[in-house]
Amino acid sequence: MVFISIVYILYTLIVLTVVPLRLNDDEVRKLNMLMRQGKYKSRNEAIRAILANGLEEALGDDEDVTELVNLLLAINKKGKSPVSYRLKRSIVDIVSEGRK
Amino acid sequence: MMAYVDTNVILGGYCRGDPLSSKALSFLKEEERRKLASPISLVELAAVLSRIDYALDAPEELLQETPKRRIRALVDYMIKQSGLRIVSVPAKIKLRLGGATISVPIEYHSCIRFAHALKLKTLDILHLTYADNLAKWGYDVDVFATFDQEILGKKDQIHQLFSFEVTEP
Repeated sequence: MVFISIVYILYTLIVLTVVPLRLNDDEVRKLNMLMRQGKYKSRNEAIRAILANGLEEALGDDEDVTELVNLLLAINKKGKSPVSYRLKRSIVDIVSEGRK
Repeated sequence: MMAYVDTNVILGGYCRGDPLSSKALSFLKEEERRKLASPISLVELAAVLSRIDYALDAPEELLQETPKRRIRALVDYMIKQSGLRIVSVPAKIKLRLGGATISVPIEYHSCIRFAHALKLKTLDILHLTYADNLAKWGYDVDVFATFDQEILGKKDQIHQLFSFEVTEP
């Protein structure tokens, strides 16, 4: 157990970069609350887990198209096909062409 | 039982007048098998939909959107409407290349392994290896559904290498 702790401390010292971070009272209280709830062992662990999640979303820069999708789904529910393509060539050929 | 669905089958259902349209639609509607696709299907869908955007017949609200939002919405809609689940194996493999070691998605590694045996195009083999790795990860994939004649032409070879069967809907 002691050995594992030493390895972990060495790992954090050698591999991880220290980034100074200022938090307000509320944010610190919320972090403490997460620790008391047993979700994380330390504030450091909590911040890293929450940041990792947030970073993935921020890097994604994904478009929110929920309204448009719901509109199409609603039309479809009425038995109409909201989307179609009028192509002169077969879709199989078009997909295959993109794979060349 | 589950089927990995190739992009041409997903798109087939939306092409009016295409002889394969009804086949694609009835395959996607049948409930015997859960239908799967992969993140690479999303990429390919977006790429193909961008190329055929000129031929789109859709509600005015969608046509007035920017192409970026329109394509994003169409990909989302097609996945939902087709009842597809997008899945991939969360595993990476270490490859030794030119004296360095790099970490790559397991499917890329499989592509390199099977390339010589199948001699297919890059995306063809990527879809097949996504399906193979999903099967090995525990998804019950027994069918790879495609209209692609090159893949269908090698279905016996593919069945020898992978656990699933290649079928035309």
